[in-house]
Amino acid sequence: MSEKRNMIVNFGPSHPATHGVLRVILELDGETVVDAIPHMGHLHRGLEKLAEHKTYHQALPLTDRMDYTGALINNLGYSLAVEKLLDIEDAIPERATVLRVLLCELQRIAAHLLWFSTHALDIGAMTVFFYAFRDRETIHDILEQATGARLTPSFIRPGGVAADINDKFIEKARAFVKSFPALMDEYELLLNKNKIWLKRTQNIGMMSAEECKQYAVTGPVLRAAGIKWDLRKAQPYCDYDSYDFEIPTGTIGDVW
Amino acid sequence: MVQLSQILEGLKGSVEGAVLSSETFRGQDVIRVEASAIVDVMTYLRDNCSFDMLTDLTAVDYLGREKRFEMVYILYSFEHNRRLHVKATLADGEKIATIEGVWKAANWLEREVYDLLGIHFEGHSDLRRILLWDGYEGHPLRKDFPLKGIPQKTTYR
Repeated sequence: MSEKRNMIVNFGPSHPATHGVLRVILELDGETVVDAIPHMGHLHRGLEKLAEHKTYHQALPLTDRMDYTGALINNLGYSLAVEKLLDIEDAIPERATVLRVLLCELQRIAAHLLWFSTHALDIGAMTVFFYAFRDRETIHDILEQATGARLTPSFIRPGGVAADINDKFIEKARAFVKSFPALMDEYELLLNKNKIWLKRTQNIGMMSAEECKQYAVTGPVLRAAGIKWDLRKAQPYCDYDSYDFEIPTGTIGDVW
Repeated sequence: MVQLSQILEGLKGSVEGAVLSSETFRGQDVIRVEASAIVDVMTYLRDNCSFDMLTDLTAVDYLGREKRFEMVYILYSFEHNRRLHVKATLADGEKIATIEGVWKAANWLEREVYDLLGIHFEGHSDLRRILLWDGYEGHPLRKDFPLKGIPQKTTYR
């Protein structure tokens, strides 16, 4: 029995937390993963096929469901494509464009709160999850005030947005923006001194800028690898070039 | 910013007979090329026009046309901050060479096109279905595939 061989382990598809149900067949040499074959179709719902049989407006609710943490952002991407195709980009009211940015950026914060807190939860840092979800709920409350729904608003539509915002929304959004910097300090306090979390993120899963380009990886991963690139700066849509914001970058492309 | 005409000129000089036509639609530059020359075209665009990323690779089924499938390659150049769409048409059953060797991103994207549209990529290192399961019959994004689906044999493992 002294012959050395690797062990094959099936991971998933029913991971208890089931964030995007994934199955991976892993080949292990002791504690080291030497090969991994992912099977990622478990959440494939054939949205493109469904959209084939719908009008542009009917297909909009499907975009909510592409990623329920970023429904408004998916609404926007789809609406911008339809508007470009119909050549009505110049006809979108300025107020609608500003509202789109406002809602999408709130949604973006909510989505970030979800990913970073559940990722920390999965690798052994539970507390920050409760703080982040408390504040994510505040954002959903604000979004609900404007759109009528927490997760699937179908609010940003080809042509503009579904309705104007009200005073209550403005009041809630102002209060949130004021409170958020202090909340971010809380998250940092909970993670940046957590040794387990640091051990499991620093220098882990590194990806170089060259690899990112080879594999067409963009967004936060590309920025973590040191490339100062953000679509909102490189090819601005919705007048993003009129907003003042910074692109944060990393250096070595690890998880931390 | 590199002009489309410059890219076309270089491409015509280097890969003979590859370029069929080009157009600009809603500000998007499109080059139509011969499917058989796809690897040479992509290699040229990567090495000489600094298109360093394959943003997306997909296909469209224009059922009823003589060559029903149209491959669509969307390239991006970080240096010039510009995109380029390259298209090539294929008849039903016609194969196209993999561009895995040009950008690694093509591996999974070509598997998706194979899975959902049934286009075969010659020379692909691992051409398996990616979203649907092994043993699935049909390719759902083909326009003659019914919306309600085709009954599938289910095996529980």
